Amino acid sequence: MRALRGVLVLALAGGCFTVESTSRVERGPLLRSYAQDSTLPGGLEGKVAVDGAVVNFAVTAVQTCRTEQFEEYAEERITERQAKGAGAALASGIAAVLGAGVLAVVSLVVSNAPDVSSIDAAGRYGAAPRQHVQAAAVATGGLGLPALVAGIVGAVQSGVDVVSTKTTQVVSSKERPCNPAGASGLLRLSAANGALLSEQPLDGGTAAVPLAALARPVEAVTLGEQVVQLDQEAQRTLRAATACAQLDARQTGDLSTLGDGQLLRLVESQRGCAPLRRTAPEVTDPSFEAELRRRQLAGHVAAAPTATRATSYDEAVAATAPTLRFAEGSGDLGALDAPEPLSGRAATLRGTIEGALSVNIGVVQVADRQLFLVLPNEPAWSGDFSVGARVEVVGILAGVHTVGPRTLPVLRVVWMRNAF
Amino acid sequence: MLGCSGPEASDAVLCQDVIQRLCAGPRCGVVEERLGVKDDCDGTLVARARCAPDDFVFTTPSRDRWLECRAPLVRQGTLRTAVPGCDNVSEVLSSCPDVEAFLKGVR
Repeated sequence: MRALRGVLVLALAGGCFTVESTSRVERGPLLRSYAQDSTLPGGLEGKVAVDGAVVNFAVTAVQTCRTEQFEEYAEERITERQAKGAGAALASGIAAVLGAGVLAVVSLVVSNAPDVSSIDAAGRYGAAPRQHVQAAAVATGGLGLPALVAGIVGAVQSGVDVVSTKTTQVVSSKERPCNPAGASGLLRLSAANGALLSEQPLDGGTAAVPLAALARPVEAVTLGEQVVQLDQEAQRTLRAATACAQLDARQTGDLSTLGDGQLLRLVESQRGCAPLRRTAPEVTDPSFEAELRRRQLAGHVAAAPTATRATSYDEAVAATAPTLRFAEGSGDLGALDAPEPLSGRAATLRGTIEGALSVNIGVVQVADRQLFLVLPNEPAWSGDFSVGARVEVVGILAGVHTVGPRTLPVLRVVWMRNAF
Repeated sequence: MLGCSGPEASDAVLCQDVIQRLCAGPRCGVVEERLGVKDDCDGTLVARARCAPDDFVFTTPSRDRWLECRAPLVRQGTLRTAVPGCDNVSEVLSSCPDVEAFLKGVR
């Protein structure tokens, strides 16, 4: 009994196989599909329409309706457990135990007569053949039984577990504005610095704002804490309304009395208001543009758009209407001998960057002449303007300047690009 | 299997086994000198020891003493036909004077 206990202890110790476990999920058939609707908080949408001297705002509160399509599947989570080595132990254990059994049976037919041809040091004859066979049976069984038990334990630990479940997944989700309703509350129009331009209560989701209140650009349209979203058309209409309000607010009188900046803003308002008042006299009056052009040709610096207003070289050329051209072989280069009278005149230039004196002052070489190029703090253009780069420039001449040993004409750059 | 062994050999067989090993050829000279045997070594020593009958029982020396003194003779092997070395034979006769006296027939 003690011996058997020892065998089992050995077997359990040997039966501590590493059990490897692998899991996988297998999807089964589709059980059902269904749609589920839900409603989410939305926002405020605004429309803008101009009617004469009134700007009508229509604000609609909308929710977001979501429709999700679900599919439900059967799913099996399969876990396979395998005790490594259990199979080999089981096979060898079975073989050894069977072999021990065979030897035990064979020993019964083997002679039990002692081996009288030898007498050991203790005075005993040699073991009978039966004793040898029985000893071999015990040894074989002693090796095989623990392996057999260990193999059985490992086989019991191995196996497959299957757990069936259901799983649901979203296959599609669609959202759309829904449940529109006229908003209520106090509609506020604010300028860029937060200044209040207009405050009107909504009546049935609409409010009428005097056009005159929009002489400054509208930065935000809010209802309480919420921002009213304006689509592109509403934004265009609002910008045009602001231009018309600014146009209406101008002081009538002789254009020649207006400053260059005032005239420029007047022309911009006229252009901005045109979509709303296509044939109105204040929009079609050509005298504004004509006066601006006259001043630009006369070299009025403030009459020219700045670089931040032009968005391309060609737009800068169109806006400034240059009358001078500085390039290799150009006859206008001679005018640089006396640059002071040229101040305020727009010019184009083709040359090579000769050096940089600071972040926004460079020197350009045109044929045998040099000029200072003065760039704005934040130019709207980009390119390779390192020393040696060939450039095309449109700008406004601004007298003469001395930096170190050099005294050169100055060209305030409106636009610059790499060229030729 | 190393622990497997048969029944005890009788005292008579043990006595005859020692005599057989002492007399095994080529006989060691110390056997002839100290035990005084010549041609029929086995027969002479068995007769002196009176251990021919199957019912022979050791008295003096005892069985255990006999086995103790026999030990050097089985170093070359426990088979009854194994021939011990003469150094083993000398060791037995030197270390076991009671066995020597027994084989000389001295009681």
